[in-house]
Formats: sequence, C-alpha cells, structure tokens
Amino acid sequence: MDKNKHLESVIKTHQIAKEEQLLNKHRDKSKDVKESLEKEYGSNIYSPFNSGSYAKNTAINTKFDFDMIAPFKKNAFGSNGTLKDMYNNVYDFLYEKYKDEANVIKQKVSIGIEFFRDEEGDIVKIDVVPGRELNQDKYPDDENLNLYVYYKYGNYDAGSERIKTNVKAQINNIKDRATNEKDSIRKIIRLLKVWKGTKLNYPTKSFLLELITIKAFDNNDITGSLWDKLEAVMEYIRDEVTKENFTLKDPGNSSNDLIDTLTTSERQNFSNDMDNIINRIEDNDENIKTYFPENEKFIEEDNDDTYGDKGAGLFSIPPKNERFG
Amino acid sequence: MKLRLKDIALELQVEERFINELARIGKAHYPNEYGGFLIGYYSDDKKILTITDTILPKKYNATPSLFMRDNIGVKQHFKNFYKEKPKKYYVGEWHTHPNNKAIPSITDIKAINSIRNDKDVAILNPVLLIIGYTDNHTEIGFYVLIKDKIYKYEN
Amino acid sequence: MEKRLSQIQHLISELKGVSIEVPFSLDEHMNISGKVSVKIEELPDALEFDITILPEYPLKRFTTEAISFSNVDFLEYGHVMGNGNICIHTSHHPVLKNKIKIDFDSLKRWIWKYYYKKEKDTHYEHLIMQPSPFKNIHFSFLFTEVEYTFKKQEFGFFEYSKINDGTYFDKNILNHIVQNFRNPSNKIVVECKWSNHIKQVLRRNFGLYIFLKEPPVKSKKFIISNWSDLEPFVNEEFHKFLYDFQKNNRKTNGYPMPLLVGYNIPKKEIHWQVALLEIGNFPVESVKIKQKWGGQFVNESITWGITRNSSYDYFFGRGKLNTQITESKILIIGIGAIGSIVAKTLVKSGCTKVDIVDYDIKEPENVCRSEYSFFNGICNKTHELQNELITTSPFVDIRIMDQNFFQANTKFFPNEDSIKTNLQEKLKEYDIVIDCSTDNDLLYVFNDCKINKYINLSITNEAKELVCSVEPKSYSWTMNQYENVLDNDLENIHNPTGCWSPTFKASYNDINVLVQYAIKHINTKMLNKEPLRNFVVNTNSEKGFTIKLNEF
Repeated sequence: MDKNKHLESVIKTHQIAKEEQLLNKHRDKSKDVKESLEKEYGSNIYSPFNSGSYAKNTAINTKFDFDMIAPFKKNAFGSNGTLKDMYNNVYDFLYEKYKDEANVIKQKVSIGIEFFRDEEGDIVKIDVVPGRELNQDKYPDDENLNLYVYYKYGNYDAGSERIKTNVKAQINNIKDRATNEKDSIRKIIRLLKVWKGTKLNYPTKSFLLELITIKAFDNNDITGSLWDKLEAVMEYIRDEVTKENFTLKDPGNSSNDLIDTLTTSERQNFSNDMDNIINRIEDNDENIKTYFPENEKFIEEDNDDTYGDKGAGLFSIPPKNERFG
Repeated sequence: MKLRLKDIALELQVEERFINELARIGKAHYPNEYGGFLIGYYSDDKKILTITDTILPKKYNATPSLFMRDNIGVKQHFKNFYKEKPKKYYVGEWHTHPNNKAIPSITDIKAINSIRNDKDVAILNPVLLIIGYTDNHTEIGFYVLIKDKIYKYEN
Repeated sequence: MEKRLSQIQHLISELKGVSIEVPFSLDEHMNISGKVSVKIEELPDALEFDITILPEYPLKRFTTEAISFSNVDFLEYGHVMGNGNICIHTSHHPVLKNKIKIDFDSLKRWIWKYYYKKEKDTHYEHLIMQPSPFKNIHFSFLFTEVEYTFKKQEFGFFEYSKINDGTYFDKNILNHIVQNFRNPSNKIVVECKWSNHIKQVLRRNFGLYIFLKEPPVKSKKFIISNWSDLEPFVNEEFHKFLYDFQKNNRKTNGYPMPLLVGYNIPKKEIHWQVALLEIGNFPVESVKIKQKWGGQFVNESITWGITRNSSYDYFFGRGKLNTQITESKILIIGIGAIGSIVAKTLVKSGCTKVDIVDYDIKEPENVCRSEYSFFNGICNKTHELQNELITTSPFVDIRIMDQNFFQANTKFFPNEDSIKTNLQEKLKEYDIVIDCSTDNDLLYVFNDCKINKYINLSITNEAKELVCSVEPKSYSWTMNQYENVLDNDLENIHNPTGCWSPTFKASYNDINVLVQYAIKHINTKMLNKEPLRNFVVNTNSEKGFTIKLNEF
C-alpha cells in the first residue's frame, strides 16, 4: 500500500473539474439566486458574491460548498430593523421564491436552498448568508458585515449573538494561501474535507479546517511527502486543539475566534479523531482507504489507459461463429 | 487517418485507402451485409492501435440486416500475419450496414462482448468497424469495447 | 467446647462498658447464649441485650453474622428486626478476640446512632411479616405501580395470571402476576404496566382487593396478624361486597381467593399485601348493630402470602444500560450467535422495544453458542427467541418482522430508488438498527440508506476480532477491514455438513466476551455523550487472554 499514491488519487478523484456538469448547475443556480436577491432588494443590497470553498479554491467534488454572501445596507430593514428582521425577511423571500423547486431551510448563520433532485439525479445546494453593514454606506470601504446567529453553535448563542466579520478578507486569505501553496495547504485542506465527508454531521466547519491547516503550516516546519504533511497537520490538530489558549483568528475580524464554533467536548472529540486516524493507519496502511476514500465515481483503473490483453500474448483465433446485425 | 476516444487516451490509426477498399468489397454484396476480420497491432506503450489488413471469411451467411461469419478455413492466415514484422494479429471485426447508419445494433454489441469473452481471444478491447452506406453516402464508425462499455472513436 | 465457652465469657467480660448479666451457657446445638448490659458515655443507664453465638463464630453462617444481639423492647428504633435482633452492620475478622471487639463496637455504634440519636433510616423498610402457606402451598403475587390514585377504602376485583409454579424452601409455590384492577361492577379501573405480551397472552383469574391507604400495622412495623385487627380499616360496604361475592360463588367453595390489601408507602408508592381466603369460609360473621345486620371480621389469624412490587425501576434496579439505549426502539437483523446474545443482553438490561428478523431455522447445533434451548427442538429462530425474551422481562415487547422484507426490499433491483425509499421508510421507525446478519449484500444496500443509528456487528473466524461499524459508509469500512486489514483465516472454518453452510468457529464464551465488551463500549460512549466511532475489538491469546479495543 503506497499511502502517497493513494492520497494523490484521492485528490485527483475529488477534483471539482471532474463534476463539470454539476459545477455548472451550481453556477447557474447561484447566478439565479444572486439576481433574484438583487431584484428583490434593489438599492438596499450590495452585490452578492460567492464565499464558499469554490471561491477559495479548496472545494472537493463531493460537496460543493456554494455559499452566497448577501450584504445588506444598514437601513435595509428600516432604521430600527434588527439582524433578526434581516434574517427572517431574507428567509421569507427565498422561501416564497423557491418553495416549489427546493427545500428552504434555516441554518446556523445561513439559509439553505436545497433544490430538488433533477432528472439527472443531481442535487444543487446554495447557502445564502445574509449580512448587514455596520454603518450606513460604509461597506464599500470597510467590507465589514454583521451576521445573525439563527441557532446555537459552539459557544455562539442563538439570537443573542451577532458575528461581525469581513467575508472578503476571509476568502482572500485562504484563496491566496491555497493557491500559492497548492501542493501543501490546498491538498491537505482537501484531504481533511474528504475525511469530514465520511462523517455524519461533523461539527467542524470547513472554514475551521482551512484555518487550522494554515495555522499548522505557519507554526511548524511541515515538509516531506504528502502523507508526511498530512500526518504532521493531524498531529498538530490532535495536540493543539484541546489546549485552553488555542485560538483560530478569523482573517475577517481578529476578535472572532473560530475555535469558539466548537464546544469543549467537540474539541476533545476532534483531537481524539485525529489520534485514532494516525494510530489506525500506523497499525495498518490499508486503513487509509476508509479515512480518505477515493471518489469511486472517478477512479481510473490502470487498464483504461492502454489497450489490454489477457496476459497470454496477443495471438488470437476469433470465435467460430459470430452474428452481426 | 488518426482517431481518438473522447475520455480515454487511446488512439486508432488506419489508412483511408484501406477503409475505402473495405467499403468497396462490402458494397459489392448489396443489398446484403458483408464483413470480415480486422488485423493490426498495438504500439509498444499499447496506446495506439494500427489496423493494416483484413481477412475475409471463407464461409458466411448474409441478409440485408444480418451477417454471420464462420472461422473455418482462415486460421492459417492469422498464423501467417503473426509471423510478420511487426507481429500482426486479430484486433476486431468489420461489417456493412446497407441503407443504414454506422451505429452498432444490439446484435453487434452482443457479438463484440462474446468475442472479448471467448477463451481463444487474447485481447481485452476488440474493435468493431461498421460501414453504413446508401446510394450516395458512406459513413464509417469505429468502436471499441472497454470493460462493459462501447466507446466510439472520433476524428 | 467448654473451653470456647469460657474463652468467650472471658473476652466479653474484659470489654469496656460491658457487663455480663446472665452468664453464658452452651445448648444442645452448640450455641452459646447469655445476657449482657452495655453502656455508652452519653447515656445514664446501660442497655440489656440477649446474645446468641453460633458455632460458626467468628465466621458467618451462610451470609449472616453468627452472633446476634436482641431485645424486643427496642423494636421502635431503627435497624431492629421483627424478632428484636439488632442489625449491627459489622465487619469480617477470622480471629475470635478481634471479632468480639469489632462486633461490640458495632453494637455500641448502633446504640449511639439509633437509640441515643434516634436516627431514622433514610430508606423505607417494608412491614415485618412472615409469609405462610395456604393449605400447605405458598402463593405469590407480583405487581407493578399503576397510573391511578386509589381512594381510601376503594375495593373491587383484580385480575391475575398464573406464571410458572416452583418450590419455595420445602413447599410448593404458585406464582402469579397482577394484571389489572376492576371496580365492583367489573369495569377495568387501571392496568398494571406489563408488556403487551403479558397483557395479551396469559389466562386470567379473579381476586379481590381493598385499598386501606394507611398500612395495616401494629407496633409500628409489624403487619397485623388477626382478621379482627383489620376491622377498623374497612367499612360496611366492603363487608357487603365480601358477603355478596361469597353468596354468588358457592360453586367454587373451597377454592383459594386472594385479597390484595393496599396502602401508601413513602414516595407516593402503593404497596400491596396479599391475604389468602377460602371461598365459603371467609373470616367474617354477621352481627346485628343498631337494628341492622352487618359484617365483621372474626378472631382468626390471617394467612399472608408473598407479594413483590416488580415495577420497571425495581426490576432493573440493580443495573441497566443507559436510557438512551433502553428507551430506543431497536431492530435486530440476524439472530444467530451474535444477534441472540445482543438481543438477550439488551432485554436483560432494560430495553422494552426490540424487534427481530431472521429467516433461519434453529437446529440443535445452534444451541451451544446462542441464547436458544435444546428443549425447543427445531423451530424458527425468531419465534423461539421471542419466547425466550418475553419470559425474561415482563416489560419487553418483541415483534417479529416479516422474514421476506429485506430480501424483497433490498436484493431485488438494489439500485432502484423506490425500493430504497421503501426500505428507509420502514427503518425510520427504529432508533437503532443492529445488523448481526453478516450479510454483505445487506450491508451494501444499507451503505447509503438514511437510518437513525445503524450498528453492524460481526466476528472474524475463531472470534479473533469483533468488527463493529457505527458510522456512515459502513460497507466500505467493514469490507476494508475484512479484505485488507484483518487476517481473517477462512481456510479453517466449520463446515458441518458440506460446503453449503460454513460458519466461523467459536464458542459461546469466545463470542459472548466480545459482544459484551462491544455493548459495554457503546453504552459507555453514549453515557459520556461522546460520538460513536467504528471500532475493532482485538484479542490476544499469547499470554493468557487480553482484549484491546481500537477506535477508528
């Protein structure tokens, strides 16, 4: 079992370009959502933009992570309008607009639009994150937004808490690192996302996996083969994530700490999971296959690349009788 | 003439003159179908198949929509081709579709699978050439079986 | 023996604050008895106790201490038994001298705590009573709490069913369970909280009940022993009920008739005692009071039978799995060795909703490593296990799922969405699905089914490992373990009658130790609110037997 060869294949079979058709469907729906938001909210909204993994160059083809930030003006929902008003108003609009073709769901800070399965069996999901500028007309300058927390996650309480952040700064930070260090940071992020995809409702957000990977590379000299790098990042997570003073600064607002999106026990479980992965793969290489599975849909077997034979030379006598029509 | 598969890096090379010759032989049996064995060889990296010759069946039955060939009396021809340099061998079959398109029928698909599965056949990817023609139009289709799927070569 | 007598006498006389009132003597059973007085500082006077020391002393007789301190004057104090024996809660010592010191210290502690400080027990102790046989046979009645508040002096009928007879010490015992309570017009007032099986299956008989509210007690902790002592607790209506009942049931004269007598005990619980009457010979007489005829109890001793509150919390009071599991609706697929052990364990540990499915027939050779019995012969595994489980716990409902369900809904056209939807719809009703079928086809179909909690359990040959998948994509993980990770030796499997029914080699002990370990692990994780992860239980027999659980 060659761990590096396997991991390269995991990355290759999860390349987003392999799902071109599905990618295009996401792009089309994303455009549609953006245009409907702009039409509905007119001058009360700035231009919505993509912020998910796809925008950050860290996407995998089993989960597209199409997030759309909808930046609203301070007074968009009246001069006394609350973040909750904003969240509910956007939900009501999206629900009315898409209820016949999608499930529209209230999520932690976003509103999920999960389109019904189409004729080709594909499901497109767009998450809309409504945000509001901090001061009237200041967004074009500072790009800062307040988000509404619909229900509790990690240490953020439902309703009561507002998250202030600069989403564009978040995207650019990760996009730059992932693009410039594509053989290290980008690959490791994608592998960790593939791992997360094997779990049911894992509490760790993709954004957190991105930040923690970058932090691991910044704090350690991580070199060697792809497996060496992956193992080093997992060791970093295992050892650091449970420490009380561990922080993951939001590149969009340094006073936000992304580790707060996990509870203490979730941090412990995250650490335990990393420990288990490392130990089990050390027990037996073959375990790597189920922690980091290839996307079976795109596995190319060796004999697809060449004309094959049955291993006993090339001389044949054709079958006796054959019918053609 | 070079032909390629769309998603898989495999190539097929064949002289246009050779195809024209096959079409001429096939059309001579109008209104019935007609065909034969394809002879060729793979490149060293097994990425390119070159088709060079045909062996015509000694015994066959044909109607306007069916072609049945036997291998009686032609086995020595295959042996002779294998003695050439480079070695040439059986790589597939060709047949005509009079007044029809160059698209494999269900019978054709069954045939190519049965060829691949035959114990005396050494190759895993037999090729099927179909020559479809009408009074004023001729088209050819080259197909290859990879695993359980038929792929068409394109220009 | 004389030497032992004088030694004990001497050792006791040397103890501080203890003086011998009646010198010790030896009886024909080699028991030593006498009377002492014991004084503690806080009390002005010494207290007297009769002492009996059995020949086993300083060791125990069976599980009880071989020394007793007794005084019936102290019955009203805590930790005193009906015969006046003091529960001293002492500790073990094999040497006579030390043991005597320890036991007298324990007695002094009792005097200080329960006599001087008058502490009451925090836990309730039932009335002191000695069950006696009715016509030389013991009767027992098991009941549960009910969702109903009985009014004082409420009476009527109760329905009961017989369960297995047995032997109780040197006599026979007839065991029964109380099914429901009915009013005098025979309308059901409330049902006991047994499983549906128990409510539906068993045949019924009638008894009588009366709820007194206050315990029928004398000297604080003794149940009344004479029928005339019951008179103050009942009214004339109840006497009329007894009179009418006996008049209308002359045909059954001589038959036993249980009378449940209920009263409140702490924590709003009801306890029932049972008195056994004989039809035609009720302990009542008619008397004329103020120009009117009425009934009253006669001066006869009461035959009290045996009752037990077998409610869920008492039944599983000594231990159970965590409520997240016990309150779940569970489906077990495949009830061979592993599945039947899982089922039995869940039911013994408090689960109440367990469904099972298997198409297989139990053969004699299955018995040695599963929860089946030889005496049930050849039969459907499902029906035998159902019977086994419902006789284990009176609170479990076991349903048998149609054996063709999985075949029809998984293996025909396994890729068709409608079939998968059908399967998911059916499995949605279960909180936990435990697949012990070792059927790879089924595992494959379940791989991307949405099931609330899917647990797949299997064992490698010779029970070297137990493989447990609890996470999504269970097929890929389990297959990888079997095909690439574990060394599952399939050359050496058990082929009893040719190659059509191969099975892994392992004994009941081999399998059970792994299954219990796995269940314990899952229970612990859930109790600690940790997410479940796939795991493999590895064993090693090189230096004794060791078990190691690896989580993934």
